[in-house]
Amino acid sequence: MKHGGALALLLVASTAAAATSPPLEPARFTLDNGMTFLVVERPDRPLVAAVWGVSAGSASDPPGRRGLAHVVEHLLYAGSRTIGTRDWEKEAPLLRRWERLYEQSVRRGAAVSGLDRVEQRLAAVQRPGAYSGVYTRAGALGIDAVTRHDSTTFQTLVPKEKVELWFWMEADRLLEPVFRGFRRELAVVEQERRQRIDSTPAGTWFELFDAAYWGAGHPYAHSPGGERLEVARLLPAAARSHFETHYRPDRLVAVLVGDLSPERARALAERYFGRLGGGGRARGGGAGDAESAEKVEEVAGPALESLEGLCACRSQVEIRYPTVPFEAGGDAVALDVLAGLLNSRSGRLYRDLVVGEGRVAFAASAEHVSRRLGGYFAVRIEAGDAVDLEELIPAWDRLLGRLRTARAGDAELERVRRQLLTDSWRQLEQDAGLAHRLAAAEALGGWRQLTEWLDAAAVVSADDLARVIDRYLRPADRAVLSLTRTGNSGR
Amino acid sequence: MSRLLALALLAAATPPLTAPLPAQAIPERPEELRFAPSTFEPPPVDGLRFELGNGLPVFVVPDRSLPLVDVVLALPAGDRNEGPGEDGLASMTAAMARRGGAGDLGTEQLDDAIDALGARIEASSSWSRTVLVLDSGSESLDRGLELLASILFEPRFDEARLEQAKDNLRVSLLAEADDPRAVLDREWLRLVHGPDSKRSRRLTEASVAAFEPGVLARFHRRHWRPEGTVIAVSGDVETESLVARLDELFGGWDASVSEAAGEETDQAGRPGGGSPGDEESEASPDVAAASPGWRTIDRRGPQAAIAIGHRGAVFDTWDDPDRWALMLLTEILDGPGAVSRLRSRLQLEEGLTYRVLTWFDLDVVRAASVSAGRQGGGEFRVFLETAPESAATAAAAVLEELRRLRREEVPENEIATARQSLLARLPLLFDRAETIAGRYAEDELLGRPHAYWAMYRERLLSVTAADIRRAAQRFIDPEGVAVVVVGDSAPSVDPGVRVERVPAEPERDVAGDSGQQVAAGIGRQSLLR
Repeated sequence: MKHGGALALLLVASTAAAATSPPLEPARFTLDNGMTFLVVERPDRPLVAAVWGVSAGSASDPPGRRGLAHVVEHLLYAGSRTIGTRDWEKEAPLLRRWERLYEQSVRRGAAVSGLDRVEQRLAAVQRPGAYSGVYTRAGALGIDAVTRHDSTTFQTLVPKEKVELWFWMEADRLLEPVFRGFRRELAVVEQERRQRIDSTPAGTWFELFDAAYWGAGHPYAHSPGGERLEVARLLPAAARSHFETHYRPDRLVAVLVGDLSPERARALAERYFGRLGGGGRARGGGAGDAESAEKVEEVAGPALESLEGLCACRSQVEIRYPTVPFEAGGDAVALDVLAGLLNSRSGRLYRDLVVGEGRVAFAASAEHVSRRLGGYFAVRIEAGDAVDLEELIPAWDRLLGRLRTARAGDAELERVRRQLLTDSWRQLEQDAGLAHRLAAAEALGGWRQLTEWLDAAAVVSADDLARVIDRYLRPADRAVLSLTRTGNSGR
Repeated sequence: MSRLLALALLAAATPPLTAPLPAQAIPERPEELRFAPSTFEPPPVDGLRFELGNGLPVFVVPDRSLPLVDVVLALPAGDRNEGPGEDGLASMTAAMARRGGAGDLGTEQLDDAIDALGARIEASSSWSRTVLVLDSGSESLDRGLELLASILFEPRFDEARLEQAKDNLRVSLLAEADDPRAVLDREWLRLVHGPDSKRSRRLTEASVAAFEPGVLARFHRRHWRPEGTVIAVSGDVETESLVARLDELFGGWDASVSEAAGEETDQAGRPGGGSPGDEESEASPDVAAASPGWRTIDRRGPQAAIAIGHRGAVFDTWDDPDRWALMLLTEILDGPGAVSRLRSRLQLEEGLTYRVLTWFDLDVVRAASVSAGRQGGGEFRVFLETAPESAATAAAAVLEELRRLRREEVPENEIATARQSLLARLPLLFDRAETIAGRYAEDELLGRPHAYWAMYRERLLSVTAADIRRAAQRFIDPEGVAVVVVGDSAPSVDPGVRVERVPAEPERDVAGDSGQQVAAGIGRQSLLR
């Protein structure tokens, strides 16, 4: 179960010209409890790609509990009152006792007597791995989840004959999840963090740069993996509270792609997920929830602090310019097209910085990252052989100057459009990828944004590019991460 | 009609339900759900295979749902065809064929021509194959194929672009010395295959310096040959006209166009192939590492990286009973599902690691070249990362699980789960046009009979616990493993492993200006930008 890195899922999809419009028309329905489903029927597929997501990620972590959303993602694999236990009646009182003792030990910062003994008794009634085991025995694959800044998604590929198992399993853990194995899961989360961030040469620096760029307290200032010390002090009650606040049916979107008719999907969805909220086992929906949802909408702009450091990695810079939140039109799309103009082997970055006359870079790329609460345009340049770090930013500024004076030509824009168009088709090819894209777009305001985005990209002009360059890519208004290479002893 | 289907139809025919169905419609446990049996069979290969004028096989699987086409051309040449001092040459040749201009087009013109189509063409090389991939919109296919053919037949290996790539490669080499996973990979492969094996050789500054346009062109002439090459096409195509067009472009390619590979001809044809007439292998294959033992490379960091294992298995037929048994054994030890002994123990029970990765190469080479195949054989490797203080415990747990596979028969329910999980992944290998065309083309490239897929289910069903134990005793050698730990960790606590605590490797001159051999690499493909 991974957590998303700094670069979130970019929405890139669908088409411009009507003649080449990709045949994408998912069936969409919403249950009475507010949970939304999208279904793309693909008759010949042996597996159904099933994804559901909640529009809450690490940006929803409360102060002092950074990493909570990601821990809840992990805990949702611990099972329910049915899955993961040998005897729920025996387990439940033990679990309550364990939680009381565990809370005491965390608050005191020292082990409390009896905790280990209860844990041993729990081990006798719990079945770790049972959740994934049910799926694996049924031949399901690709069981995975990802926590990003604005969302958490859960994925399964299930044999088409057994698609009902997905409805059973996912509704079951949403209805009555049991967050067992809490302490062990925190240890696994810590291992994941070390493996993904701490063990990659520049990983920690990018995390620090996020904090510097967004500024303390900003919802995007910490990575989905959270803060180690805060994760270590999390309590099961906080995890339950996060779950109850955010995993409400009206904030859930599920997408199914494969050999499944929308009618059958709807019948199964009503039967299984119709039980969430509203019914006898109702949950959530208090005033406090609305308040916390409001709070994340009023955030300060980025702090734009720059950062310099030494790293056992290639010398490199990342330059970030604040832009706009996600939108399937306007400046947001023009900035996406600008990134396309800069990237690829015939793009400006490669031509000027990687292989040109005055080349300075081992590699260079641009990206427009646009999330729900804000966006930035990032240019990353890794220094070439025997190139000083100090040469990189002036080289980029010169390129930017040329972009201002020599506007994008028709052929250049046509190249970018064609690449965006073909890319958008490619993204429809794979069922799981399509399911994730649809879920993300639906959470950001509707799946049609996938097609609207490309319609907007198709009409971005050289004037639009010039406008967004002037408006957003201003030297006075940026933050820079500069990493200078050190030997392998450096850390 | 099943009750389920009846319910589904009922629901489809009625307006949206306003209240949930009664609770009894939902079984108490998932095991109570009843499903139709899986009907999946690999699609028939009949009608998908064509031959060009020169005999080059082409597999075509049309899928007209999106205006996209994927073309893959695979040649049976790779790292294994490199001679002494040529480390990295196969990959460099592939990379520069794509980047260094082709035919009438210079480097930038070629990039422009490909990008203007919105297409992608990439070329890369691995141990035993070189692959050229074209991925384009169907309306650009014709021009894309011309460009692909130009890259295949007349790459220019532009000198300036090659020099830039060499500069970048030097930067890569430096970065890899910093990466604990790359250090682990280099050291472990050296211990497993021996320092002189092609399998353990890695790119060095010296081999980078030797890359010249003429050297690349020579490798291209000798090894990019039609014999054994296959083409797979999938997507929005009309089969007949496509095959005709492929015949125009590739059907005239014959051996006389390429320079004969001379002393290395024995390598052409099948991967892992050695000289004909090599002696048969011994009855009991020796999978032990060339230098078994435990080696710790001290390196401070939050995480220790560990590799444990030895050489992989080599068979002379795809249908060897031990090969099917080893497939199940690997799944039991560490399949991708949660039902994996290593994951259960290291993650679910002890919380020691986020992820364990196990790899068991089960190579097949033609009869009469099995002993040469030892050179061609791959690895059996368990990789994991854990906190430095847990490294010794985690490694000991892995070794204990290996011994257990040799000692005890695997319980029937565990075998059933592993079998189910392996069979469940079969559809994924044939799940859309691209994978179907690619799978059958790969059969031809590897010499794997298409019938392999038809026997797959039945063969896995017939493997017994005794078969698995026998395969474990033949192909897993816990005393012959090489264990490498990169990290600040305690020595082995496993009583059966010969501990060879090696002092910390002297710091290399990673600044690189002394000209000494620098560092290593995890896959060469990733080295070039």
